[in-house]
Amino acid sequence: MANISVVRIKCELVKLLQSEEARQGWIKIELVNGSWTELRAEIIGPKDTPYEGGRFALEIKVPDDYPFEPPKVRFTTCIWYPNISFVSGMICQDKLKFSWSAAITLRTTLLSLQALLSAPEPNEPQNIVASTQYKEKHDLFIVTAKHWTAAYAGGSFSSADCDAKIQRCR
Amino acid sequence: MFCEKNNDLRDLVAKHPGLQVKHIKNKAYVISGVVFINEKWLRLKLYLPHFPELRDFQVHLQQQLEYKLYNHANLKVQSDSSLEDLLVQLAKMLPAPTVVDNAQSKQQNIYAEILNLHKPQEYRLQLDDRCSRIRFSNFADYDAHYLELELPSLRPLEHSLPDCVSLGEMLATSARSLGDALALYLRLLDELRPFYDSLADIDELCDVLEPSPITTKHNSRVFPLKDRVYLKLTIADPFASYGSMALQIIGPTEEVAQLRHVLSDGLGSWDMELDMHKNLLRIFDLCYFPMRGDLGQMQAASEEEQHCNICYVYRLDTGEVPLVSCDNSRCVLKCHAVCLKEWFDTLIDGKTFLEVSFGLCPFCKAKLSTSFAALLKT
Repeated sequence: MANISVVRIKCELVKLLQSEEARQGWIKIELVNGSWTELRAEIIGPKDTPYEGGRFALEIKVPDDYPFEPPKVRFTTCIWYPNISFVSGMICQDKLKFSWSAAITLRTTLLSLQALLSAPEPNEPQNIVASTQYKEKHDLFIVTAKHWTAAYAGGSFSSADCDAKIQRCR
Repeated sequence: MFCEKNNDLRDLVAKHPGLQVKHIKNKAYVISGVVFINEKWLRLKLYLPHFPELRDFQVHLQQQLEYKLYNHANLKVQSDSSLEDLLVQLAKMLPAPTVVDNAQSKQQNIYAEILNLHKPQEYRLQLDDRCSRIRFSNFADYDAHYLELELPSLRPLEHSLPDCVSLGEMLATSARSLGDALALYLRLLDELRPFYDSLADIDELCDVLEPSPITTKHNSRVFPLKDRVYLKLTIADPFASYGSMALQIIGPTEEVAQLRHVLSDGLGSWDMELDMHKNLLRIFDLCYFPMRGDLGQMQAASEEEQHCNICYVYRLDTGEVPLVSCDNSRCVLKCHAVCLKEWFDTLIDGKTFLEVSFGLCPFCKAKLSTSFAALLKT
């Protein structure tokens, strides 16, 4: 791994772990197998969204030419969201790639992903079903997203209607 | 049989006293040492498993500084050849001895000259173990300077003059002896005194940020002119300091534009009686150039706090510090010119004009002045 990226990741992690967000437990980050190229992060679902109360795990792969290239980030926790694939956890490409700048840090990346959960863009879908649902049956989208948050991310939402539908599917 | 064998070996050792014979087992012998055959010295180690026959022999022969292995595969020997024949054949493998001609022996007199040049009061003289390099340093009037030459060729290996001074060419054309080479070097140091004096004032009275560390080889300086604005002074020809002086203002676009006008007006009234530092103060109407702590953004700021916003390091291995800031005075961006260039080079819409990469601030997207290209090492 290029020296510049290692130095920068080390500095970023120190600052991130000292940040207000980390102290409050809103974001977490750790190395995977002691490697500076692979990290595991966790963000909490933003307030007043269907993701509130959930903890979403992320896999971050840092390229050799970081910070000149953005890190590759994907959700490892299943999430019902128009711009995130529920199969691979990949985020709609231009979210990170095209708004990337060498001055953006891992902290700002995680915070922007948290903010992304508050403002879906259904016209650039990664999950077409969720996107269609968001546009055409918004109430159902909210319930489904809350249910997924409870089922996969430790949220507290429960709906007898959802449970019954799932039982019927089985 | 053994008797006969021992006689052969006894004759061999008598003829070549530099050889040693060692009996290993049965018919196996190892013969090693130095022999003089056909005007050549051979250093060898010979293994004979079936002595006195040469069958399956192996010989390690020193050629220059390494040993080469010869056996039946790469050295054809008749089955009835004697050991002496083998040695003669090995001698043929070595190049003919070099004859020292007069020109060469004259050059060897350089070592006698070294003794005459030993003057501890004027400079320090050092030789390496093999007498192949000589170093002059700690000159009485020029403490930081040094000259290292290869012997006997007098080719400069290291020296303390700026890289733009072609010392090698000068020595090749006008230095016939070691004394000439040293005299030429000392004369150059005298001629370069104004150059070094000018830069010494800058180093002492300005907050020089680059190069770091400053050495006698550097012919440029970067130092602050005001908050977020820097001056780069380069002397292209150290033998003509004022004639070859170039001044570049580096910083946000508007301020650079204003200060360039000030500079061009001021250069017209340059006072040759004053030194470079005083002239620059006059041009920019300053009492002194800002030092660390004078500028708001520098106040009590540790190197860590001033680090580059791209690589997160303050001073790079090349000595470069983060000086680039954008045209937005409220933006906190500070980074190395090389880091910023690398960032622009990775952008699809990064632009290059006359080999200068430029673009927008990676923080606030404000314009970045092209004046920062002056910080890039050419």
